[in-house]
Amino acid sequence: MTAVIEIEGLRKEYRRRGRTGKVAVQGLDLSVPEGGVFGFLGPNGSGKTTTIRCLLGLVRASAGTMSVLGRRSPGDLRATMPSIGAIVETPALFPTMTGRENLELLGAMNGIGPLRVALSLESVGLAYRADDKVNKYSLGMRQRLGLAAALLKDPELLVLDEPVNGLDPAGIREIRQLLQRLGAEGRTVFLSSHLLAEVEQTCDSVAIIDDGRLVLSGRVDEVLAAASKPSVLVGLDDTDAGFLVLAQAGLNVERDGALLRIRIQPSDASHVTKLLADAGLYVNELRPDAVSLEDLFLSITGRDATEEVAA
Amino acid sequence: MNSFGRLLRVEMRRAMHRRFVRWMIVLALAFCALTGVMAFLSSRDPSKVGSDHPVHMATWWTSGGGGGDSILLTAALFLVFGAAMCGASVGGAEWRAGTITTVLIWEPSRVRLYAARAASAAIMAFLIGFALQIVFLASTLPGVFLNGSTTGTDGDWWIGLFLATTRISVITAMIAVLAVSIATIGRNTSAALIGIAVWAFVAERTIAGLKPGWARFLIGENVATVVPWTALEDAGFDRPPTVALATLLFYLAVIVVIATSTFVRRDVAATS
Repeated sequence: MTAVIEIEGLRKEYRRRGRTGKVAVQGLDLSVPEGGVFGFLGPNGSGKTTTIRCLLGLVRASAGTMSVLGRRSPGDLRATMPSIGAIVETPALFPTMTGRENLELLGAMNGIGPLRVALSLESVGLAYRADDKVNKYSLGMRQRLGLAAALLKDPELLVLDEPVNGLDPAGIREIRQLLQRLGAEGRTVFLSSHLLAEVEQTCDSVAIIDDGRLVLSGRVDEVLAAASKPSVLVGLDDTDAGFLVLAQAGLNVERDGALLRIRIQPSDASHVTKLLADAGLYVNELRPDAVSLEDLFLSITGRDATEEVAA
Repeated sequence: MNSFGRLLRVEMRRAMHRRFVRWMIVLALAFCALTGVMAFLSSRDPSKVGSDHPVHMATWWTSGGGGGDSILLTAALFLVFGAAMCGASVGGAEWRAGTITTVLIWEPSRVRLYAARAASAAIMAFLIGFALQIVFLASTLPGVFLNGSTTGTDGDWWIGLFLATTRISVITAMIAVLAVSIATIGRNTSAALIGIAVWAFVAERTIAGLKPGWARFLIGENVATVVPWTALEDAGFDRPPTVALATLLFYLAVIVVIATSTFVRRDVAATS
């Protein structure tokens, strides 16, 4: 599969006068496949935004090479930028202009007309407030407007840094569906987010970085499968009795709150239910113990992704 | 329209959308209106209307002698201040608001972006400056027609007035570009305004006082030579207007090059 974004040995050190420089990204290698939604995760200060800024030519890399849509970045960005839509952190737009005027102004740089502006506003559900000034918008509406600006170019590649910040649950769902649709259309969505459940639901592939280095990358289902230790979770009225029965049967069993975790393949769950039923214990809950992206993230980074929002 | 033309147009629209720029224009128009009313009211008693009163049209611009009695020089002074403030606002506000990130996502070539920004500042300052001078002078017309005179306004005078207005507009444009450039270097409106004020009112005056021989190289002295298009009287040095203009253009080019190279190399690392 062709890579839409290719990063090799990216390093960024912010120099500070009279002090040691701060290394934000150190030797990052990353390959983002064409098409679909790619999640880019990492704890606060791990170098996600710096990587995105380097890719988009906003920040100069100290070392390494990058290519976007098959061309060098930042060297060839003038040629590729018309095919890239991007949001970097909170979208900053001109507050004294209306949402529509903002998009018309940006679109005018690329010869994009009012029809495309109207379609973009419609696609993010902002058409009804398009003629209000941006300084009257809520954070969620500004986020939608930023997304509309990113979509305005009808881009092949969308680079979105926390695009659902400030959106309510319904808004998050709408945007998730929009991103999935864009990915299904063959566009590539490069999504940086701290909402791990969202990323798990939205993304096809994922990369996790920590301390400016790539620590894990791959398709979400493959990454989770590789991280999972096969087990099932069982709910019983009498957990203590169930624990004894299963332990005496030689199964690897442990308590997990009100549930029991048994280390067996989920396909062998019938063996567990039979043992319990034979002992007069009836199961009220039975499910595979799947590893979530959040569990995986925490185990890799040792940090909670949501902390970065508060930080 | 080519892509640079589109960028230039966008920069002009963006600048005109700045509330500060609009308020400055409104303020300038109000000042013009006030000048007109005062000129009219103060000229109703003919015995009190001296030869230097603005209702005598010839006082709009007096060629030669440094144009010192011209009311147009009053307008020039305000225009230069206005251009510095508006230019600094246009160049500096984007850094504070974080919109520089948004703009660079649409136009990644910083040289082109800065060139368009500087060019738009120059064009707008020239046009607005020219228009405001006309409004300023026109505001005295009721007084001229009802209480004053048009004596001495022959063809040469009109040409002299037109050229003076154009020169003032050119200086206004240069100051606007200077302010945009310094605000780009400092990433801040206030930094640009303070920098310009300190240079103009402290550094230049100090240099002129301590080293009179260097005064010929100062911005103030060169501007004061270009506007009337005549060498300064009693200045202690002889500086032809063409040399003064070339000096100002050279200084501006140096600042523009520094601003461009700073902008090109700078990390745009945070919104606000």
